[in-house]
Amino acid sequence: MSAPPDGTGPLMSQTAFVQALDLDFSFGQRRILQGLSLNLQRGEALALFGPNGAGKTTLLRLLATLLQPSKGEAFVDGIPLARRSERAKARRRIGFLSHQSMLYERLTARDNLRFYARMYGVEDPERRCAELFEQVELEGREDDPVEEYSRGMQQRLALARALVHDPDLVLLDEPFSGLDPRATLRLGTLLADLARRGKAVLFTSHDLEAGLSMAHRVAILWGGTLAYEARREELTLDMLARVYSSLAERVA
Amino acid sequence: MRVRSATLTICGKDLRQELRTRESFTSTFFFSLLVQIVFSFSFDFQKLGLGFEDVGAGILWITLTFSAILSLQNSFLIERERNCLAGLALCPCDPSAVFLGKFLANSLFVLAVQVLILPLSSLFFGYDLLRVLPGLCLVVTVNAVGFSALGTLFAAISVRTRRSELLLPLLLLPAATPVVIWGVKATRLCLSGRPLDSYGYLVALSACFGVIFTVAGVLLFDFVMEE
Repeated sequence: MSAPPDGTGPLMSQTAFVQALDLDFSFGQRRILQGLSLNLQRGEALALFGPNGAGKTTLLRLLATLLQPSKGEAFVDGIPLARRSERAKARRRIGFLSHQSMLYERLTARDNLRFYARMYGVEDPERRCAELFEQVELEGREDDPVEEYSRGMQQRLALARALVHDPDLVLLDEPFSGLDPRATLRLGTLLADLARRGKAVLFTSHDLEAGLSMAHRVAILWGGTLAYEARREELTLDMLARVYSSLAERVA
Repeated sequence: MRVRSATLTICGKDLRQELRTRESFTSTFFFSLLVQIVFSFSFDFQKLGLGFEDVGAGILWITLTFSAILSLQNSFLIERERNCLAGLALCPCDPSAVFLGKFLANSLFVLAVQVLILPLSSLFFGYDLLRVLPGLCLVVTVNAVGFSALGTLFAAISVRTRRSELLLPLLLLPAATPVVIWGVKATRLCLSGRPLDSYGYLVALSACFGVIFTVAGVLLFDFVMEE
């Protein structure tokens, strides 16, 4: 485990791999995140639930270094994400699956993966691409243009893109969307494997059942703040659904 | 990742994509061809008592400027699809490599179209291309590269806006006026058969313009890429 960053203050956990401290993010007049704090350990998968507009995607984009918070700080393995000079170092450690695939549709799947592998400085891009095509079950379709892929296949390829450099922090924004049941199960196995290998996984979902089954810990984001947090072993699906409903009623 | 290898990787990706689809090339080439055809039918040089050297520079630069805008626009529109721009921003390379990669690909692309257009213009307007070829190549290359440097930076700035197709020419054309004017003047002198000495200072000015905007792109691209 790495050392915490310098001058982190009393709130900073000594062991957390990902540390988000009192994050605020505004879009115009609207506050998307309001004083959100979150820790994530290595080898842990955290499922983040919440309604549309709760700030889940914004949080992931902040942690991926695509956005900067208006207040607060975030660290990945002690690297401050706000510091411009440290961002490349942090980005080497982060893999991000977004709503949009970030794939070049007119290029083949192989060209896409090879391109990102080179951009991340992967040592043997061809071998890594072959491994990933096997993991996401796209062997035999590597040389098809991405525009000929179905929605689910594009999602699987986007996942391979996010994992191409074997990141230590995997951020997945609604990874189950567009996947068939078999691919969803396969993704669950992949997430478990990532966590077993010591990766920190943070994913958002609207599917309470799938999310709960694949996470070590769950959190509910509501109105830009962390409204609920629990370990999986403390919860059943019914309990989680009740908590979610009661939060919705309270807000209504 | 080293800037040079990231630059070449991005440039290679853009060229591969263009070779696969030929989207930019087709529109740019046929636009350029159309401009040449229209002008060749519009002017009766003999009747007007003009030679190609009198109006040719204008015709060539109208073609070059607008065909370059078409390709510059496309180079960032392909990054906007599926939010590939964010994919590039997430890569752990220096952001200047993204600028340099796109700039290199754009410059090569603009020059490739000119390589085809110049012989065609010689056919349409009946001037001796071989006589002016070295000078013309120098002028076109230096000015096209300078124009691409500025255009790449502005295309990246405008791509996140809703009306990027409209915004890019609005931003680019006024700012690129000096390099276009120097290009037109140098081309006219070159087509008139003057030696390089007579228009060398114009080429040097255009080269300075290109260097300034390349350096600006390298320094500013980190901020341009930010959401």
